[in-house]
Amino acid sequence: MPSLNSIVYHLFHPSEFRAIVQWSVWHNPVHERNENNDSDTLKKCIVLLKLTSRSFASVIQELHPELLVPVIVFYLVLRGLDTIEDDMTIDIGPKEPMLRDFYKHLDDEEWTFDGNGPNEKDRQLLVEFDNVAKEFNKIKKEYQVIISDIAKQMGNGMADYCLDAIHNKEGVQTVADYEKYCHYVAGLVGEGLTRMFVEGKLANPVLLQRPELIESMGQMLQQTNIIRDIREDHDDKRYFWPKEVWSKYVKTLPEIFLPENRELALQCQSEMVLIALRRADDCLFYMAGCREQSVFNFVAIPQSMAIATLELCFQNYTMFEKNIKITKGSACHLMTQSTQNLQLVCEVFREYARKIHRKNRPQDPHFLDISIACANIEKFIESIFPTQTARTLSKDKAVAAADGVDQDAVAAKRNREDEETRWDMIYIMMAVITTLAVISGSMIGVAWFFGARFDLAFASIKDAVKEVGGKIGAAPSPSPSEAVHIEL
Amino acid sequence: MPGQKRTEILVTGGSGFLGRGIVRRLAEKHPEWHISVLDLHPPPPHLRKCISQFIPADISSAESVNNAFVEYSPDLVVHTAGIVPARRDRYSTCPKQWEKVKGINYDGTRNVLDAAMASGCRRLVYTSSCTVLIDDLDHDYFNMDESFPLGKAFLHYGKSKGMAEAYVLSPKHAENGLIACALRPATIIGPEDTAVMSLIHDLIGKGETNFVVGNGDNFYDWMYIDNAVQAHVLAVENLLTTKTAAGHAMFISNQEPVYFWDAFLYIWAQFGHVPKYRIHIPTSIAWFVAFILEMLTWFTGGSATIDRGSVKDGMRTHYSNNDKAIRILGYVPEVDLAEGMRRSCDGYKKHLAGKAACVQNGHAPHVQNGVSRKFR
Repeated sequence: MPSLNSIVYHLFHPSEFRAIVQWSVWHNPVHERNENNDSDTLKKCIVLLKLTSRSFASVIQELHPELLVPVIVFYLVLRGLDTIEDDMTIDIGPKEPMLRDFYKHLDDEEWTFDGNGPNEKDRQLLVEFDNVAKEFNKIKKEYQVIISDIAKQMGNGMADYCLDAIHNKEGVQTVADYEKYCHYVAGLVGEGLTRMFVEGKLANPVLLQRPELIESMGQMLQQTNIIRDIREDHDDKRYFWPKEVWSKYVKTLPEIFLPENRELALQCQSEMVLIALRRADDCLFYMAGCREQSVFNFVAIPQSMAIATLELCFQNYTMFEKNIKITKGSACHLMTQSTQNLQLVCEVFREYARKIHRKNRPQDPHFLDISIACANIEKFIESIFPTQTARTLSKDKAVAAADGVDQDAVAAKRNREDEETRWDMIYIMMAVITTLAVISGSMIGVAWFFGARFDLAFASIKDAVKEVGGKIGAAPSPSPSEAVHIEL
Repeated sequence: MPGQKRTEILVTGGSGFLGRGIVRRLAEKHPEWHISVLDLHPPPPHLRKCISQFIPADISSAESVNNAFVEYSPDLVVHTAGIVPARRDRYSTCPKQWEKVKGINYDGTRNVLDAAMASGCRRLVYTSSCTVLIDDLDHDYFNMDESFPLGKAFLHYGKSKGMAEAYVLSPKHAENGLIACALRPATIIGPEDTAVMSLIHDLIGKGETNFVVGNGDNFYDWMYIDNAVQAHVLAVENLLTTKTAAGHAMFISNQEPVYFWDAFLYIWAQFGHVPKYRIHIPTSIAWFVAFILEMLTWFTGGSATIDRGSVKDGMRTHYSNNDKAIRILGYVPEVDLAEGMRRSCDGYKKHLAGKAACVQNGHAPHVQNGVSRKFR
């Protein structure tokens, strides 16, 4: 049942309401599923998926049948690792080997774990983990290898972080550390998924030779979350913004929330946004390699949400005061745009790049870098979908004109044409001016004939001009003609 | 390469902004080479130790140039000398002005190339400009490359540079053994640049920073001086060795196009000025205002402070694709744009401080020589 608040909000934002309606009415999954054929354990897994993921559950369920179960299992396995890592009630002693050895019992249909603290929100997943193992054993060997390999790498990465004293005490140090952290929690997910897409022949195998593209996909998502969640993480006393960045603005990260540091907070925020934004063109490149529609939707939706979230956060101080997120209407619009083709996703990226560019402030120390980063996104889009308007000169004409034509003759012809255009222009202007003169002349004449008092009108205009003139005299401002002047 | 003889390089416009950089870099990288400067003005003192001779000459005069090549035959000429009509001359349609620009940029290039070839020189790197393509004002050029057709440019600068480029690369010279290439840089900025910086900086004083023509989403292409110098040096080395660049024109830039007005805003901010508000003037209105002003000045005979040229120039997009220069020359920008802009602003701050000091001491402000100043 929608709340009164949301009803009022959508009354004033009809386009967002429209987006929600459109998404719910018109969106059809690429691959319809018949859930009645699902095994009991798969049904249970889907329940667990819905329990642990707000955003991914629906896109995962629309995936190509080839990948559906492997991706659900992959997601739940990683979520299981995350549940252990996040739980502060588990001591580091038992936690470390649990993380490192997690991949070893993925196929153990007996393994479950109920040692999570009672407040751990996803504890039910590990309590019923046997269901995941049963589904794991049913999927193709190739997918099992990928899932277990990624679970091993991620478990080791998480264990290293748990043991890292400096990291635990002082948070992330350098930008390289920050990106390494994002690699373990998101980059690896991207790697696993890409390997599965290619294995299922649903994405271009070339993607595997471009690991930096895969990495950027995860980095952009994770960095966006880290930027947006700064307030929530601060309340939980967890810090992921790298010291290398924030130390330029404040002595300790919590100081960034002090009201007197408002300007510095925004500067620090823009540097963080900049680091994430530089990944955007790689992400578009990656998406170009997704052949199958459901896979494309699966990767494009989170990326569109990410760039929209970056735009929402950028130059927005509210982010330091409370948790912010994009509105449901925008989310639905983004989902509609992201479930069709690359060109529409590029339009989303271009739109948000421009929005960021417009919010960019020259006072900000990263002003130019952000402007370049936004322009770079547009430049990349331009390279795959060239703009063609009346104002762009296409290359096609080049081929005709390039070779073997007498340059002088061409120039002479062009001069002739230019001359003609110029005279055409003059004739048109003369015609326009004459017409306007005749019309206004006759109207004034008619007015005069019916007794209009132009003398009074002129007098009052004169007075008004004097009055305005007096004001301008008091506060001199450039005359409009000078003011609009640009020289280049 | 001729066996024992030292390589002789002639840089025309070697006292100018770009030319100075090229001379310095060539001398650093190839201390064994002989570098000569041909310019209207002598190079600054610190550059004189890098060069083996200074040849004073006016490139617009065939006689002056011919005299320079008497008893001198370089192995390669880097022809950077030229004139960049700036400010209101940029959009000028005055025939007298055209004769002047053509006299230096086109006839000057002919004079230099003809004299060099007569002396036996068969290699030339020509500093062209991206304006050979974009100076038509009517089109947007997204990601433009060398396959775009030339010949539409009508502004004096782009037109004259385009004619000169066609002359340099014409097949009849290649038949006579000329090995030449042309580089088409975007607008070059740098710490020693005063032309571009002053143009943008002056808008603060005029109170014209609050206005944006068009939507402000259009791109502009820039190039930091070191990168332009690097591309020229690579071209020189190429023509002296593999010669794969022969006959080619290549776009060069920082490969970081940026929103047109953002570069301005950034530069203004470096001088402590942030416009309090910004008014977007729709293109049609700006065009109309400019048109009316042009009509008025057409009657009165002056030149308008705003014209349709500057309106069109401020709202269009152009940036180049450097793939060809990357492929042939191995060109990769060494200084990124943000850093380059910062250095350029610092340089201009020093220039302004120096100027202020001069005025205080009662000296006339230092006048930059204008022969090879580069804008675009």
